[in-house]
Amino acid sequence: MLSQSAKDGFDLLLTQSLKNSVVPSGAEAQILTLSDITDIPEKKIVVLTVSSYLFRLMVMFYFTPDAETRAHFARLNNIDEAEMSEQSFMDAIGESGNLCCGILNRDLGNFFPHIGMSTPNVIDRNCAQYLQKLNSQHIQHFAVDRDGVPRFHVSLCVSAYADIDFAVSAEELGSDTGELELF
Amino acid sequence: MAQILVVDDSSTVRAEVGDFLKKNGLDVILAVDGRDGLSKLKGDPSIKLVVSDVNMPNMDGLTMAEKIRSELGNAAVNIIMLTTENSPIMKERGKAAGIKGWIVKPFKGDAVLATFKKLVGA
Repeated sequence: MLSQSAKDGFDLLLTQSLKNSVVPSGAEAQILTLSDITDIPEKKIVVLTVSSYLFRLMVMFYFTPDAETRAHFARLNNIDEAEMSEQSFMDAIGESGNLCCGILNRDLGNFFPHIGMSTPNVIDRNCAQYLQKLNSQHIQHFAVDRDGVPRFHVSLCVSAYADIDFAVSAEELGSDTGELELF
Repeated sequence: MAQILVVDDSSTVRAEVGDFLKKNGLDVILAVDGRDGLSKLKGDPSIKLVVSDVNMPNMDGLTMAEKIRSELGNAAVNIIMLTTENSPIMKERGKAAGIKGWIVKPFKGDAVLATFKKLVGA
């Protein structure tokens, strides 16, 4: 029910969203696709969903709450690492996931006007092994690499409830953020 | 005597926005969701600007904006949404509730500071 063009579109939109949300502004990141995630080391997952009445997609951000990861997300969110509690660390990762899916949600809104997203939730890494049980039409795994930043992994899982076909190119993407639009 | 009420369920966003505004000489009070925001605005008539997320538990930001105008009868306070959402439908609902503006996250303080100061008369 998902065309190949739609699958490529979901992948492209997510990779662009990742580049604009989970690596520092202006930095280049390499995003690779992986055939499976059996051996990845991360222990926890932040999960968000973006859905319309035509489809539901889940984005899963894998992480381990170690010192390197804490430092990265403190830097990314402009917060003082020394003052970051366990709760605020979880919140910082959740907010990065929220930003990423917010961009994805906005870009998908160009094709699917009635669309919404969840708030972030933290679940255990073991939940990922049940992705296949969701009867989805598209599962893709990614590794995000950048110098000085711990490699981390992301999974995309799309379940379609109707035939879906859309095409997107990288040139069409990109929207202004942070500017105040006055009414 | 707070001038700006920042409403967001994310402690990361509350800290980032609140700290930036305080460092730039503005008085800030924080709320964790729309219900908390409504309560704090009710108890502090000195608040001149509300900067609020949209998607939050208990009460979302647009519902809070509508209640500020209807239940509190406060037509004077300026309301700006700070959110990952950019949907025209939501913006129209916000406009109908009398919000002043819309910012798509991430927050870039330098881009909005002058306007915030103007709105609170600082």
